[in-house]
Amino acid sequence: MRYVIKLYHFLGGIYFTIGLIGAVALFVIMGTVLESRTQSHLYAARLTYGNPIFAMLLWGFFINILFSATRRWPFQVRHIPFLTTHFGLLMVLGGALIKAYVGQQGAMSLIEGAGSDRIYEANTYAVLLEKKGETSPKLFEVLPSHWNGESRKVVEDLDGLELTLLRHVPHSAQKLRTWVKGDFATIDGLDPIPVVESEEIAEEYKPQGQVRFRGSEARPWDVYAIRTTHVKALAQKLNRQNMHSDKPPGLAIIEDREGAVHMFAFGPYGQVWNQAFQCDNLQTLYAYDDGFSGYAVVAEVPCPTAPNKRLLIDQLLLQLNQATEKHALLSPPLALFQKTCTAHGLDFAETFVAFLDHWDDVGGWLYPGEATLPAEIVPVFQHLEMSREEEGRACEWAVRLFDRMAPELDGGSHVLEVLQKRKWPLMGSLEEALAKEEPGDADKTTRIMTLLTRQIFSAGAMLPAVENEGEVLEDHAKRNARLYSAYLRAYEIHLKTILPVPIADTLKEHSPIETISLETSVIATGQPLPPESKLEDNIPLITLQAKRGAVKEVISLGYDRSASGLKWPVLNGQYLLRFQPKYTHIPYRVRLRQARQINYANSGQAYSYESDLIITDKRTGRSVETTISMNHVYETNDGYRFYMANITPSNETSVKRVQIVVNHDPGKYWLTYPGAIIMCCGIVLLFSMRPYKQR
Amino acid sequence: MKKRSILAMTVLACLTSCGGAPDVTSIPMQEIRGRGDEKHRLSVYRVRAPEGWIRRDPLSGENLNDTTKALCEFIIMEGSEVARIAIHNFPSAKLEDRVPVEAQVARWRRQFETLNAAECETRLQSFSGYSGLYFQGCGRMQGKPTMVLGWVLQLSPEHYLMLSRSSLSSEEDKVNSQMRSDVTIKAVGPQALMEKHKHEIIEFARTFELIEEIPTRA
Repeated sequence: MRYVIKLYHFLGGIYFTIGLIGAVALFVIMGTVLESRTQSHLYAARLTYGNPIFAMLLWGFFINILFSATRRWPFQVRHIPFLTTHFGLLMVLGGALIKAYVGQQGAMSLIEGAGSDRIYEANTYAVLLEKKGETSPKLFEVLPSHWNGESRKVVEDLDGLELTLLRHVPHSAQKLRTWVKGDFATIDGLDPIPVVESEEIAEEYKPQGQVRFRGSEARPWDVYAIRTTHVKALAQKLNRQNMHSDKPPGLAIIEDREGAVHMFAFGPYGQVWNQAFQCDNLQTLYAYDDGFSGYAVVAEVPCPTAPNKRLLIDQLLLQLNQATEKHALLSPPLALFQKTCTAHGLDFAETFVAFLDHWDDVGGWLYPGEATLPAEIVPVFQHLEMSREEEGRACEWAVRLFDRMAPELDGGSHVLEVLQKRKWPLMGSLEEALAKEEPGDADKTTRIMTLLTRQIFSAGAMLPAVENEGEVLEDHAKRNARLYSAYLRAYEIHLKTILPVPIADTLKEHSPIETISLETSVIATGQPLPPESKLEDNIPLITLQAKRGAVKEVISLGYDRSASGLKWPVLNGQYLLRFQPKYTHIPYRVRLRQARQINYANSGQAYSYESDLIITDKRTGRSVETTISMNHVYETNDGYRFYMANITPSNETSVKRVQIVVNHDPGKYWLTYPGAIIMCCGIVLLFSMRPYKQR
Repeated sequence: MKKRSILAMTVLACLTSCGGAPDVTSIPMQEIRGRGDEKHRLSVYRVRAPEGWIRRDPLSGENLNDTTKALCEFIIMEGSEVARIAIHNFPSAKLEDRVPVEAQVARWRRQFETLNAAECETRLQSFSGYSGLYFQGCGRMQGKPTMVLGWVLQLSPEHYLMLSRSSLSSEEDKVNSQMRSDVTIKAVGPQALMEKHKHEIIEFARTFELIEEIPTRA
């Protein structure tokens, strides 16, 4: 009993008080130093303020203050200030202890137009489980005892379902994988395509496969799957490699070192399409059956099925320029045109291609005499010397022959009939071509016309000269253009015949674009990393085994701090899981009407963030409309405080989402505040009551 | 004694300086019913209209399935000048069936005989779960200087899809169908009158919201 009394007096004595103050001071210093070194409040709190020893110190203060007051028994009037102060202190401490044990602090995430009554507690861990067909998900806390202790069952026998924690990693990097999963590129409906590494850009890339996306009759695509750091350079290389009329279209799935996938499609005429799929920010995602059947991304790849005239002409221009630069040997008509252009300071490739394009537009086997030459082409034909003996005479006679034949051909007669009627001397070789012809076959008719033109040119040496009648300069240019067209026809040079691919008679400027729709599933992967010293930055990863009956599945889940990310299907889509903070319900439903950022006048800098809320007490049904902002909180009568924390986006581009911090101190109004008032009163009495005044 | 009084007043002043945000409930919200025939029209929206505005609802018995008819109109009258604020909604069965917001704004532009480009403005808006465009146009309609202030609003795809899920009852389905409709709020009137009440009209539009909270998934 004596020792109990001694202990009682010690616990209420000054020395215990000094010890407690010293210990608290040490904890606070340690907390401050740790937080400044690690930049982590959580780290400091776990070792100091959140430590059970610190809580014991608070209890120590409570006992010390209580015992120091009760030691004054029996109480007298002169004890009133002392007791008042100590009583006030006890109330304040009591309020703090109640808040520590039963108070609430969490964040609420709201989207405009919607509401919530849940607050998510930071740095807590739970698994959200949603069963297919049920509207209310269930939450199961994941405690350190689950990964430190022997019992690893997070869910035990919930309608036969068991969730067992297999592994816990304190920090990881989370990524969404789309077209490339591990070492394979995956497209739904196709076999996985192995991914090759390419750190240096190679001379040539062989496709990893060929795929016909539209059935067995469709044109095959070369498919590449490559991992590299140099995405742009690789894409350029593949584009050049595929830019050839003989090449099939190419589809390249390129993964960079950060895990983002860049999909490219290359056409044989230089067309390029690309779309990027970032692993932490997918623009569009497809959820099947609300996520129970998984998630996917889709790429609409344009199909280069029909050539675009403009593109082809640019291609031709490029080839002619390259030929000119390399001083390539040109066919005689081209050589003549080039010579004339060079002599008169005109660009050969541009002018020649312009003439071919114009001739194709106006039509005709030979350039029609009634057409109007574009201004940029006139100079070359004004100076074109069509005077070489054989070619010149051949051109003249070809023009005359086709002029004579034109009325009958335009009337629908076949070219061979017309020639037979006119007793063409070289019908024999033409009739050989007739044997291969089908009636009405325009292409073959074109070939016969070409052969006819060549026959004239082959006999050029034997043909007499043609007298030119007097003509004006403009007529001379048109006439030369017509003669030159015959020269080109002899060498089968026409826009339709020299473009890279056989095309329809009517070339359209803009071909219709067909697309191929490719889809692949989206999965989440987590890579363990060394834990960060700033604990708030750590993203834990857990691996769970889900079991129901004979069906088992292992799934890894990264921590979703905001609890707004994807939920992942498990057990053939029977359940969805998400690893997230724990939430609790509060007795208020908060609805966000609208949120806004207020800027400084004439500035884009934020001055304040505001949210218009409707807060409904679920117990009474009473609603209050209020606006909270950065410097204005809303507080209910029972101690729930709502603080504005965050708004995104800050502009009006889309519906806004806000984070509101909710704090509940149950003892604030009946313990902490009254205790503080009483303590203040006690202090005033201490300095003003007569027994304590200096005599 | 004097010192005690000063001390007591100081303590009182500190205590009374604590406070939270003020409540905003001075003007009651007015409910607006959605489309359908008279028997089946349900209250779907609410808005706070300034005092002095005259509300005009459709005639009783009128069938409002025709989307060219307004759900509700508010009128501002000053002397012989009248400005009208009409609220329409446009139900849709699927997300893809919704008319682009730009098309509505283009239609409003075409209603002007001449449009003063310098006083024309279109900008993004989002509030109450809707996002869309705000349009301000000044010009001549029927030969008179006229101003139009318009809002074309659509629910975010997330909200639309939540309201498209099958419900427990057909009644709930009807409500959800109206809730996910696109909305237009169009104020038209003489330019001078509209300029005078422009702030009021904008405040009115921004109080527009659904009565029921939009459901969200956990």
